[in-house]
Amino acid sequence: MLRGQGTDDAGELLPGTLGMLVLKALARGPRHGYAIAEWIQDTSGDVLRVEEGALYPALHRLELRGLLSAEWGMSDNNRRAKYYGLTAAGRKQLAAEAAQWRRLSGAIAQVMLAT
Amino acid sequence: MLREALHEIRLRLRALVYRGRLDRDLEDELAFHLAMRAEKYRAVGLDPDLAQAAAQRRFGNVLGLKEACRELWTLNAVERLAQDLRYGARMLRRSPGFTAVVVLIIALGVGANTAVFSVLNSLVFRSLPVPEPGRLVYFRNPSFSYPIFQEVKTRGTVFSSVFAWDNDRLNVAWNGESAPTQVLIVSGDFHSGLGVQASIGRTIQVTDDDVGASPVAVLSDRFWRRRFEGNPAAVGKSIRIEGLPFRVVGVTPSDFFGVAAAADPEITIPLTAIVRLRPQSAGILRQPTTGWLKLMARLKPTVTLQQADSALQVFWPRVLEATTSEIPADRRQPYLARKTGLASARTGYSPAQSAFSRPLWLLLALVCLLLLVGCASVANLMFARSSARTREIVVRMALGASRRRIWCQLLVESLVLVALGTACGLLFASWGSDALVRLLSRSGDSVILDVRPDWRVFAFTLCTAALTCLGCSVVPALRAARVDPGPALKESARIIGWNRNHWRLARGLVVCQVSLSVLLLSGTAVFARNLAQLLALDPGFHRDNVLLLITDPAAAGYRGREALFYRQVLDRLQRASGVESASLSAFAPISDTDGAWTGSVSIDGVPHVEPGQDTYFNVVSPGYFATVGTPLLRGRDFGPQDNPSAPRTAIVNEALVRAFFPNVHAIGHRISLGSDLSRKDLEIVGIVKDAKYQRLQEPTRRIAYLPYLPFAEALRGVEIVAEIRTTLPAAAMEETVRQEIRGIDREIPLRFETLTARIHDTLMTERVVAVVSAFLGAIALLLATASLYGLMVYAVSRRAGEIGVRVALGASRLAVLWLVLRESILLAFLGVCVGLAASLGLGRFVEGLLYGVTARDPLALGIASGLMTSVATLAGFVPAHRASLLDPVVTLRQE
Repeated sequence: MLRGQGTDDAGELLPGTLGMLVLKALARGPRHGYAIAEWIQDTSGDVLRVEEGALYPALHRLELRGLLSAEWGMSDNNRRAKYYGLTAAGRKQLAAEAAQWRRLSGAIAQVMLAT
Repeated sequence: MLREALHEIRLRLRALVYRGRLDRDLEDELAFHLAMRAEKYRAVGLDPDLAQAAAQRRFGNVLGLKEACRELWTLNAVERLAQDLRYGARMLRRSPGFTAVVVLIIALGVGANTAVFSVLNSLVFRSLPVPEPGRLVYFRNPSFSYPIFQEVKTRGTVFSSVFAWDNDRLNVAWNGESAPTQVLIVSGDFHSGLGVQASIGRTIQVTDDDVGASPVAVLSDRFWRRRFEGNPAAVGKSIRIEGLPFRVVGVTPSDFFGVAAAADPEITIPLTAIVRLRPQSAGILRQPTTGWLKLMARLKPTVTLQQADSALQVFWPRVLEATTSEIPADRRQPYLARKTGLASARTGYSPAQSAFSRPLWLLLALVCLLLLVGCASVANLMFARSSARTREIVVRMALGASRRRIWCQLLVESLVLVALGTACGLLFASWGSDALVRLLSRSGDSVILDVRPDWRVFAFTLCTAALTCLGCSVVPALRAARVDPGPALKESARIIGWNRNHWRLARGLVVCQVSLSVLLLSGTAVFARNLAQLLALDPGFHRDNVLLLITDPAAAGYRGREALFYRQVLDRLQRASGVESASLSAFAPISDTDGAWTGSVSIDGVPHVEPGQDTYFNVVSPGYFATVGTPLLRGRDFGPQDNPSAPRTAIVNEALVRAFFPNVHAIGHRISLGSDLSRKDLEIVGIVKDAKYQRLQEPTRRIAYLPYLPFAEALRGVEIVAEIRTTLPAAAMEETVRQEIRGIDREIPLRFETLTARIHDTLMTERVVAVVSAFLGAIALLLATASLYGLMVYAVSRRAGEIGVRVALGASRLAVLWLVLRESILLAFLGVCVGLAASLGLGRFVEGLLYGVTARDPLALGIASGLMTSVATLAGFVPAHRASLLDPVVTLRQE
């Protein structure tokens, strides 16, 4: 689950977006779980903080669905780490979800900006 | 979508198999994350210990997360099943005796069923190995003449092809060897109509069947491998059939066995070759009334069987009219009345197969009965075991296991047992079906059946196994899971679980077993009596010490000089030491598969054409009756005076006399062959006792014997049988006789048989059924007895206290003995009654296979029920006797 920082009751904030964000995080190449969490947090300017207890089940679910591939490799500081990468199906899924998101957020923005 | 699902299943299975690795990976992954986070905290200046704690805190419940992830990966149901399987396997390993017995019983039951079914499958269900077998049809009504075949071919527009064939046993020589061989004589479009491609060379083609075409032959794969060592160079070689050269042009594929399963034609030649092989029957291709061909056709793609059949019914009368136009009107009538029809030939030419399949259906029913007895046995054992395990179950339930879970557990255990039993049963089945095929084979020809299991056999076995599992496990499992833990825990270990209902169920199972066994045993007794009856039957000749020698003058190079050959053979045989007398005949005393020569006769110039009441003919030399031992009742035997230049004579049997000369002295009257009055009359010179012609089971036939020299012409081209009555056992004389005949010519093909072996062969079906049912009956008897014994032993141990009290109160040993024995006799009696009723009810299904006894034969049923009752009494006597010896002091102290 994603949680907007500072808003305690934001647990239900846009359910289902975590998967999309993870896919997006991996669009530029494989990363391990920690890096994914950090990337999302950094890129969102610390607004989105990934709850770590939810990240790993989400990753495993995506792996089982065949959207991610997993491989064990060595991290920068020479530790064994599990690297996730996008599969072709994952890339397709990302494109579809991104398009959906653009449409949805555009629509919400339009509604909210309406006078 | 599908690919995704497959991917997921693959990953999950991998996780299931490498469960340890999954756990380790998860551990590593989370540890890495925590370490990275802690490092980051350290980098901003936090104390290492505090950093670690902060990372931990930020992460949350690590254990819960791990559990959630693991849950994601694993298949819960599978895991639980695996757990149950492991537990079940452990329980079964702990009682190896029980496991072995149950597995053995199931293996026997399932194996026997599978064995019989696989043989039946290859005979009845398996399609011919040709393209689109569903479009093949055959013509009912046994045989057709060549002109009829031609006419059907031209008129049959619903067929894409019509083809004909006949089987014959001919003498074939190759590479200097020779042997009588099954030859398939086929019309030119036989192979193309069936859609059979040659594996080497080519098949028979339409042009091969033209009159005057050069003679060709196609070998079967088996013949080619056996006789030519599978050498491809065999194609192009020349073989001799009945002394005439045929060029081998091809080999048929190994799975092609002709058009009837179990038949095994080794060589295929074109139809028109018959003219060359049998010059005397050259007219057969023009003869419209002599039926000798079997017809098959392939339907056009859009035509159904019904459409084709109605089309056939329309043009069939015209076929008959066109082919019999030259026959005088008064004799034409019976031919015009002939009928035919179409039947599916997907599985081959079934009339040839039904003779084989009938006893097999019966055997299938018998092995089903055995399986039922086995199921009842296993159910009883499982039941006893689940009762003995009540304490374990009760404890598990008290610890919180759900009833469903326990029920699953028990079911999984029986599944393991049935799976083991079925696996063993499949091994047993492959051996059993081979043994059955061997049993079905005659001493001369081997039956070739492809009994390899196909999907039907597997489906059948699976169904059988599933039903077995259901039959022997569900009731006990349900019962065991219905135990109430409260009271059960309080009760003593011995009585636990055995309430009134359990007891009733166990007794019911034993009664079932006894009645099924009685059913099987009475079947066995009836079939055994049937066989004994046939063996004791007076066939009209003496079967012992008669050696049969089958040879072929044409193959020996005596074509056209048969009379000379016959005389030489007879001379030498009669001279040989150890030979009492010898004779020749066209058909051996029990002609069996060699067939018969039948036809109508005219009596004193009056034709007798009775459908289904043909007269049987045989051609015999002087001394035939003395040699085989058929008594001459009146008149004289044939002698030198019955030569080609003398007036023709015949000897007839009593049945013929009864039919045609009921009130007059038959000797001196005249009969003639067929209804054609232009043929010469035969004067009856002797009357012999009735004898069996083709097989023992047949009704008494009217037989006319003709003298061999005047009819030598009729014998041309066919094998001749020499009967030799020996002073020593017949089989031992083979070598002497062989030496003697080889003295005429080394190349003469010889085949030996004893008359007893021939009779043995004709009783094949009866023997197989009797032997197999005896085997099955013995097993069923054993199982039922063992169950009864087990039950009584248990009953005695349960009632030990009561018995102790009775003895202490002064009951005599005899009274105690009777107390227990009464119970087992009652159970056996109930079972026998039910079994007898079932035997009487089901008996009519086997009447067709019986000769001389009925299925309700009182003696057979009496033997079966007597045997069962006495064995059951014995099984009850042992525990009863033990009970009567119980010491009341000991038993009462134990209570």
